[in-house]
Amino acid sequence: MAIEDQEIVQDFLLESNENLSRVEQEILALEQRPDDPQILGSIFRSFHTVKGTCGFLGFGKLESITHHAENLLAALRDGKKKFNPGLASLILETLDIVMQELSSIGATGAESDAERSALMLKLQAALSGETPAAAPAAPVATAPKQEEHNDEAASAGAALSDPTIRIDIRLIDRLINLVGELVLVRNQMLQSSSGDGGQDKTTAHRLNQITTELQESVMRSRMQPIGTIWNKIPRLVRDTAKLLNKDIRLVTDGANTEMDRTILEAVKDPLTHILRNSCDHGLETPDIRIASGKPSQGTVILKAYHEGGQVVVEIQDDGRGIDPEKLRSKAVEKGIITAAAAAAMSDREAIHLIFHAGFSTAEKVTNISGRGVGMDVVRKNIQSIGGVVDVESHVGTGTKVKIRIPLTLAIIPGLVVGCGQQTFVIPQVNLIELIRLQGEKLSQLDSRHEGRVLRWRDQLIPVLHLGETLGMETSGAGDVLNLAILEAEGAAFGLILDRIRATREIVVKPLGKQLKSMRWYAGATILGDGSVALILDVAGLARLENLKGRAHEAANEAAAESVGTLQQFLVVKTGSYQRVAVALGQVDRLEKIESSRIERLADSWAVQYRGTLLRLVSLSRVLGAGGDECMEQPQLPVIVIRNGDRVIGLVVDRILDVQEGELHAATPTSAPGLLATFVLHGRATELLDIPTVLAAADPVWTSNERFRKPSGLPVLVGVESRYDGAALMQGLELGGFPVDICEVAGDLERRFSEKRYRAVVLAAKLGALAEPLRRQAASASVPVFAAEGACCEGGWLAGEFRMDDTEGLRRLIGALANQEARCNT
Amino acid sequence: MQYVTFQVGDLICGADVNCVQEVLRHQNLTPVPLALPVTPGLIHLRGQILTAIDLGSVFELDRSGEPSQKDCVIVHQGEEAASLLVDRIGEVLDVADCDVQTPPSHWNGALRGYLRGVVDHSNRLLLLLDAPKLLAVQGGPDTGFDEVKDL
Repeated sequence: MAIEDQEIVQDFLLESNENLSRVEQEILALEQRPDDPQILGSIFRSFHTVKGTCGFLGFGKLESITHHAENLLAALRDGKKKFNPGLASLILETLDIVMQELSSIGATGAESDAERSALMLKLQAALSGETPAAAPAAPVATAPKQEEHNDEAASAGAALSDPTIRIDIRLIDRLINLVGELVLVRNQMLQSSSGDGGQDKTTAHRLNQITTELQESVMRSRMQPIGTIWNKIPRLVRDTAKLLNKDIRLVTDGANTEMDRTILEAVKDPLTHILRNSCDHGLETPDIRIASGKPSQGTVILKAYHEGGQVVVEIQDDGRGIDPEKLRSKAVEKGIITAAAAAAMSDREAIHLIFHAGFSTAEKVTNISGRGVGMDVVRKNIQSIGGVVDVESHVGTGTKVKIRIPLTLAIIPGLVVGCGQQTFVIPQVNLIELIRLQGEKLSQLDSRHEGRVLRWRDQLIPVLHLGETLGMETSGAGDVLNLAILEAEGAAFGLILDRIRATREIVVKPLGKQLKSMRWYAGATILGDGSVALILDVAGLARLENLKGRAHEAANEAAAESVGTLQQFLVVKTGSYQRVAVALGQVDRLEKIESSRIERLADSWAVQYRGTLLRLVSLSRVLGAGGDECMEQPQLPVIVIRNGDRVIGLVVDRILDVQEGELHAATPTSAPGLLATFVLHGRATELLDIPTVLAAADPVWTSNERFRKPSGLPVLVGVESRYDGAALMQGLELGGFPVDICEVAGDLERRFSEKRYRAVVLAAKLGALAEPLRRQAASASVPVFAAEGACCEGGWLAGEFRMDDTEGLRRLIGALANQEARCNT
Repeated sequence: MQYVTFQVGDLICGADVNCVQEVLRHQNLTPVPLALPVTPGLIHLRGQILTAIDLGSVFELDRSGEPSQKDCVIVHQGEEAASLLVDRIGEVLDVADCDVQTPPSHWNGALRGYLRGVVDHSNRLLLLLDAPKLLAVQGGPDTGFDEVKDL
C-alpha cells in the first residue's frame, strides 16, 4: 500500500471510530426518544460516511454491511419503519461488527476473514418487515468472536493512537488571548528592566524567549494545510466536467501551505464557487477548444503559496476569458452603471464588474453556476476574513483569480500609523506602497480642492485624508506628506497619514456589536505599550468616503430620487463655461505644460510629451465657448485623453477639482461637444462629450473609426525642416501608416533609395529635385503625393493635398489606403 | 436580588449583579472616530477590548457637571461584554422582587426603554437597568451600507 493510501486509511479509521462511537450514544438516546429525526439522521450519516469511504478504499465486506444498515436506517428515518428495541439491538450489533472490521483493518490493513452474511440477512429481514428476534439473540451470536478480537482490538488501538487530539477552537482562542496578554506583560517588564542590569535582565531575556516561542506554538496549533479542504476538489472538477461534457485536467500545487483553520473554513466555499465558474463558464467544450486551436483538454490550475506573510491562492484556467465589452454592455443593460460610466471604465475595472451583486454574464443558467449570486458573495466572504480577490483575464487565453488572505485571523501583519492623537493599524494585505511627498513632489498631489487626486504609476487616483475622513482634528499640512497607497475592491487610492510608525504583527480583536456597523474598522488591537489601536478596514473606508459624497449631494439635491452610480469627474473652467466635467476614467493624465514647450503647428499646437508629439487643442474653441486665449497662459493646464494608441491634450483655462457625483439628474443639451447638464456638488455642470470633442478637435480621429496601429511599409514624408511635419506625420500615423520623415533638400533622395516605401508624401517645395524624384519613383513604382504647389509640373503625381486643411489630409490618407488595397489585390 | 448601584447625573441606577463582571475606577479610553456619543471609545481590560457605553449620553442627560473621569461597570451577557461609563460607583443593594415597580407611565424619553423597573430606596428612586438592552445600543452612525447576502 502506498504511503498516501496508508494515510487515507488511517484518516478513515480515525474518522470512522469517532463517528461510530457517537452512534452508540445516539442509539441509546433513541431508545428514549424513538422518533427523533435528528438522531436518526445523524446515525444514518455516520454509516453512510463509512460506506462511502469503504467503497472508495475497496473494503467490500464492510461496504456491504454498512449498506444494509444504511437501508434500514433510511427506512427508519423516513418513517417507513417504526423504531423498536429489537431494531436498536440489531443496529448495535452491526455497530460492533463494523468496529471489529475497522480494528482488523487497523491491525492488518485488510478486513477480517469472519463470515458476516448472517448479520446481513438479519438486516435485510428487518428491512423487509420481520421484526428481529428479541435482543439477546444478537450478542450471543457474536460473543465468541468478540472474545477472539479483544487482543486484536487492543493492538489496533495502539495502531490507531494518533498523535493528535481534538481541541475546542475556543480553548485555543483563549490560549491565544492569554499569550497576547503575556506578551504585553513581557513588553512592560522589558521596559522596566532595561535600566538596571544583572539578574533581572537575564530573567527578562529568558521570559522574552519563552514568550515568543509560546506565542508561535500556540499560533501554529490553529494552522492546517490547505490540502485538507482541497480533498474534495478533484471529485468536484471531475463531476462538473462529466456533467458539462468537458475534458478538464486539474493541477494542484502547494497543498501543504498552512493557514489558520478559521480562514480555511471561510475560504472553502468561495474556492469551490470560483472553481465551478472556471469549469462551467471559463473552459470551453472540447470542440470549441479545438476550433480555436487549443488542446481539447482544458486545464485548471489550483495553486497556494505564502507570500509576504500572506497566503495566496490562485485559480487559473486556460478557457475563453472574460470579455470586458460584454461585461460593460451587460452592466448597462442591467442598470448597474450608466453608459457613460461604462465607457469610462478601463478593461480591468470592467472585469471587476463581475463582483457586482446580481451580476452574471452566463447566457444560460446551469445547475452549476450562473444564477447571478456568486462573485459578489465570494468577494464579501474573502473580505470578511481580511482578504482581497483579484481577477486577471484575457479574452481567448483564460482567467486567473487570485485570492490573497492573511495567514491567520488572529494575528495579521499591519502597518501602525498615527493620525492626530491616535494610532491606527492598516492591514498589510491592502497596502501597495508607502509614499513620502516632499518639496516639488508635492505637486503630484492636486490638493488645492476638496477632492484630491494623485498622479501615481501613470494613473490618477483619489486621495483621502485619514483624519478628515474620520472627522478628527489633525495637524495642519506640513511640507512633507506621508501617503499610503491602498487597494480595495480592485481600485487603488491614497491615504494621507500624519505619521507612519512601523509594521507589526498584531492580534486582531473584534469590535463589540455596538460598533459593528462601522465597517471602516476591521477590529482593534492592543499595542506593545498596552494602548488600543483601531484596525482600519480599507474597503469600508473607501466606501465611507463615497457615502460622504453621496450624503453631501443628497442635501443639495433633495428632489433627486433614483440612485445612480457614483462617478468621479474632473471639473474644469474653459472659456465661457464655468464648470465642465469630464469623467475621470476618460482622463489619462493631467499635465501642466510650460508655454515655452508649446510648438505651433499648421492648424493647432503640440508639445513633445513622453517621446511622442501630443497635439494640444483649445477646449473652449472646440466647444464654441471662446477662442485660443487659454493657450496664452504661462502654464497650460492640459487634460490628456487617450483613445487606444492615440493621445490628445485638451487645454483648459483652469482645472477646478475632482468631484464625485451621479448623472441621474442630467438633462441633455444641444450645445456642441456637450452631452448633458447635471448637478455636481450642488452646482450646474456641463458634461463633456469626449468622442464629439475629439472628432471636432481633430477630424483625423473620426476618419477611421478605429485607429489602426501603424503597420506595413512606411510612408516617406519630405518636409522643409524637421519641425514642421508633425501634424502630417500624426495624421498619417493615425491612419495606420508608419512614417519616416526627412528633409526634402537634405536626404530625401538618399532615404528613398535605401528602403522600400509604400508612398512618398511631400510637404515642401521640390523645385529642381522634382525630376530626379519622378524618375526614382517611377522605377520603384512608388506613388508620390505632394502638397499643393510643392511641384510645378504635377502631372506625374499620384495626388495632391492641402497642408492647412485637415479634410485634405483625410483625403490623402484615404488615397493611401486605396493604394494599399490595390496593391493587395 | 442584588444590584450594583451607580450614579449617572442625578440618577441612581442599579444593574443585576449577575450581569456585572466587575467594577473599575477610571480607565483609559481610546476614542472611536465617527462613533456616536453613546459609545465614545474602547477600553482595554486584560486582553479584552470592550466598547464603552456612556450612560449619560444613552439617557440623553444634561452633560454639564459630569466628572471628566468616569468609572466603569463591566456588564456582560453570554460572551459579549461592554463597559458602562458612570459618574460614580455606589454600593451593592439587596432588593426584594416584590419592591420592584413598573416605571411611571408618564415617563417617556430615552431612559424608559432601558428600565426593568424602579425601586423606592430610602426615599430615592433606584432605576433598575436592563443590561442586555444597554448592550444592544448602536454606536455607529447610520450609513446605509448595503448588506450582501451570505453564501
